[in-house]
Amino acid sequence: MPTDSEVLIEIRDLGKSFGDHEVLRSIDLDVHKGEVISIIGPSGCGKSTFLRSINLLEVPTHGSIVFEGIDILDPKTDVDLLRRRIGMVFQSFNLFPHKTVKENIMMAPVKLQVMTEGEASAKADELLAKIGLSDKADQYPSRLSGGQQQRVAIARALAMNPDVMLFDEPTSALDPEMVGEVLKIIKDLADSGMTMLVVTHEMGFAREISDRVLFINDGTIAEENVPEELFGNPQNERLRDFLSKVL
Amino acid sequence: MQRKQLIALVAVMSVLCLMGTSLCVSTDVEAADGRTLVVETSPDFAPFDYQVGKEYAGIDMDIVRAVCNDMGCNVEFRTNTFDSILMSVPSGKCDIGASGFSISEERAQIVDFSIPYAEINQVVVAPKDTTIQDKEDLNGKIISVQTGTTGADYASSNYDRNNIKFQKTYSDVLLDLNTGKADAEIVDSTVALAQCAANPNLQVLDILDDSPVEQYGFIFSKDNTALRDEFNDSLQHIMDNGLYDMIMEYYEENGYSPETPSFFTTKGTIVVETSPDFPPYDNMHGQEYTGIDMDIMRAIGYVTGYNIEFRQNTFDSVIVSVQQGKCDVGASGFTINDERREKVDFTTPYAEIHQVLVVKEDSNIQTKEDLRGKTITSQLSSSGADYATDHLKDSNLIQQKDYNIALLDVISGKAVAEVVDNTVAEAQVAANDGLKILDILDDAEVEYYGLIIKKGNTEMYNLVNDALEKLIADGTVDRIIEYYTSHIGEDIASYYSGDAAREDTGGDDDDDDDDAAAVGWWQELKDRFHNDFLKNDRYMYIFDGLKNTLIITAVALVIGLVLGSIVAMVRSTHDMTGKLKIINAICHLYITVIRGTPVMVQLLLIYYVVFVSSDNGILIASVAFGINSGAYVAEVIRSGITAVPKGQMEACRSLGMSNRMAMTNVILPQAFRNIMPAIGNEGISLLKETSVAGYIGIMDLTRGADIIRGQTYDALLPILVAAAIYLAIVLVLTFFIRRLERRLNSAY
Repeated sequence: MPTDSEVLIEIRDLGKSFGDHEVLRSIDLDVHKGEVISIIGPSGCGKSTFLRSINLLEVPTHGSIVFEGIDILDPKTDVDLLRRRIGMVFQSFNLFPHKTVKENIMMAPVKLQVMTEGEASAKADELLAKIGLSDKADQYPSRLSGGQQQRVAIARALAMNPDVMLFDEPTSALDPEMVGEVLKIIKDLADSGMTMLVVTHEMGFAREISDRVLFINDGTIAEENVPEELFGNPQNERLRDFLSKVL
Repeated sequence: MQRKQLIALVAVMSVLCLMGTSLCVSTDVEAADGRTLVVETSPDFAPFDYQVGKEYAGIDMDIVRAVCNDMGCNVEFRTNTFDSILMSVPSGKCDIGASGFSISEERAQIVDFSIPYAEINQVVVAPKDTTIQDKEDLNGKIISVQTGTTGADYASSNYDRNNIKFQKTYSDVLLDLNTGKADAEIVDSTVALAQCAANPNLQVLDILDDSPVEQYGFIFSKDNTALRDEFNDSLQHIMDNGLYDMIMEYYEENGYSPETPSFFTTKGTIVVETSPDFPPYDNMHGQEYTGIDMDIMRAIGYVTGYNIEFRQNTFDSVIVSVQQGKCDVGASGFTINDERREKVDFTTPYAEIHQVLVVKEDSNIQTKEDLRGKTITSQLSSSGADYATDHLKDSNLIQQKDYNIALLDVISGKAVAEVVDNTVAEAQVAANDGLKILDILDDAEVEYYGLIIKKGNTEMYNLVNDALEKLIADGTVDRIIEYYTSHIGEDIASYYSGDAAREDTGGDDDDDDDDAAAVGWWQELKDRFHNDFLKNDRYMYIFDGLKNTLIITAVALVIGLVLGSIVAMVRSTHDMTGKLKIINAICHLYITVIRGTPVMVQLLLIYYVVFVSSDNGILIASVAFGINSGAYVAEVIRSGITAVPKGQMEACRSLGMSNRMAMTNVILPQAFRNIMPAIGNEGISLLKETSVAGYIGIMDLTRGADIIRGQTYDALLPILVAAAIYLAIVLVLTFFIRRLERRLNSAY
């Protein structure tokens, strides 16, 4: 567990309320470079909100997030610039239906002028080969299965060469037989040393790939540990209760 | 022949609908057949022929203008010398010679003369201090004359030729008199008056009692008797209708001065609005405005030297237009009453009428009391409606948009009687079988019709009213009324238009003879179609109307799309980011107001309140419908944007794209597909909504059909045709929208 490597994201006292409803109370977390963190917890516990706070799709109510030394909640921070370095994969893929697979991957790098058309195309080809969908490059997303779409979504996020990847329940919307192909891609990515935060219900998967697992309950991190300890010897009663239901 | 016309018309209409093109149609009634007659003159013979600047003026010139207008053709004047014209005409180099040619047997050998248009004798012109008192005194005096004139002939046959100076032009003759090189001139009486008007030191001495009385005529080639006969017919016509007298009087009043511009030179334009659905006062004959009001206005134009421009509007709107100065004069059978007097100024009345009932021939109504509890009908805000409201309280009154619809209520039995002015009643009864007039409304006040002019516009009021009073005094108004009342129920041309003369001799009406075998409903339908659309080029109403409808729809759609897109972007941006609060509030207000009020009310407000100073109805209508459409389009686009899943925006933002980048590259392209059907529908409903444009005086397709109905009293067919055209356009639009949708859908 590379906890000794440098801290990529430093989160302190993060809280988020929707009106009167306090979803996140206070979260403190250091994400180290190359670390893979899984986030589990009962539905509605705030784990997705937490993940979405990291790239400001949800604006936190209080607390601080420092990403590579930059306070991302500072109003002067260019959020768009920051987001380029934080890839995100959604439960519902969110591919652009009016663009082909390859165009989906190329759009952001080209439109944001971080790559030329040619560079983006080469990058897209490389990523498509990696996810095994080179033959689908010119298809529209509607022609792809859910698993294939999610793989393309991962490739699309990777095209921006992010420093960290956020996965928001990447397999929840998939038919069971397609879960494996997506998890395999994520595992390959973890193995390649990518820093990742993964909100997931796949406990086996979390156990297999994670350096650390966080159990979020009631808007706080109720327990965090290496997967063997957290799953093998859960201390928190809620966690035990939760694990007994999902395992 | 008739069937071919029908097929051709249908073909042309379909092509027009399919292409959606606007057909450019000449509305120049004056030159209906496009013929141009070349007229030669020697413009040195005031007051008959001269030039003011470059313009040809004089009695001859204006009579030729009036006659050619009557014949429906253009005139081109050319200058030639007097003698050469006599060569030019027979050789066909020009069509007509107009240069004060006195009719003589000698000339009749080489050319044909028109009927005479002026009578003159020879007089003497001499300085005021002359000693000449009678024709004997001329002996031994130096006499100057223009070569080739009657005056020259008279001088040389009565006096010593050595004392006669033969000059080439009248200018030279006058120079002789003014420099003392001649003592007297012998010349035509009218020319003499002109010369004296221009030279105050000269006087006319009408002392040549033995000089021949001459008549002037226009000259034609002997090979072209058809032209001469046609010209004579029209010349006779303008003599009958008083235009000839007006021209002659005009020159006399101006002292035959050679500075007098042409009678037809206009000092300006008087814009007259009318609702041309009120024969015999206001009507259309083909493209021509006809009726008592219209011809009185034409006569006023002649008398005042103003060009009269007619425009059509609905009856109620004419008053508003006058009030706001969108037109100068309202002429639409306006009864003078106190209520209207508060809004506008009335001229001296030109007609007297009273209210009567139009009922079916078999009606058992005999007294006013018989109307109790029955349904009666009248035109909205007409005197008939007022009378019915005040005096026939026990009856159930229907108020219709115009007289023709009111009449239909009687014909269809929806109402037992129509309350209407006696002149209109006579026209209606004459045009429809099975109706009669009941003149039993003894308590109906006699009403007076007046022209209406904006309050405070005394200049226009005096101009028009003085002319009107003059026309009433000299009998012109009576002649116009007599002309229309003697043709009541007929579709006749203006009193001042040559069509009237031609139609009496049976021009274009008598082509209903070919297949007598085809009888029954088909024949009747064909006749009605002929009457509604082919006769007097009535299809032009449909074409012009369609053109305006298409223009308004297209421009409004573009305005609506642009405006709607802007408003939708503001609203969506506000929805997503909370920015643009104030602009969003304005947009919200705009959408609420526009969607909460009827489009017709908006149209009237924009025409009469917002654009008070403009009278470009088509532009205003386009803007009004565009503003209206924009509100609907805005909501359509906004809902299209909302319908794009939220995740699309999140995906874009998570990749580092800005809000705007996400909008243009991802959200709007998808929204566009969502809204295509709705935008198409908006275009279709816009097309149909433009049918209320008639309320601000625009002739759109619906109004065009309406005007035809007003002329032919055919309630159904014009509207059916208009409906068919709307339907055809909608089908074409639908076809293209479907195709576009299919292409968008097949893309991904």
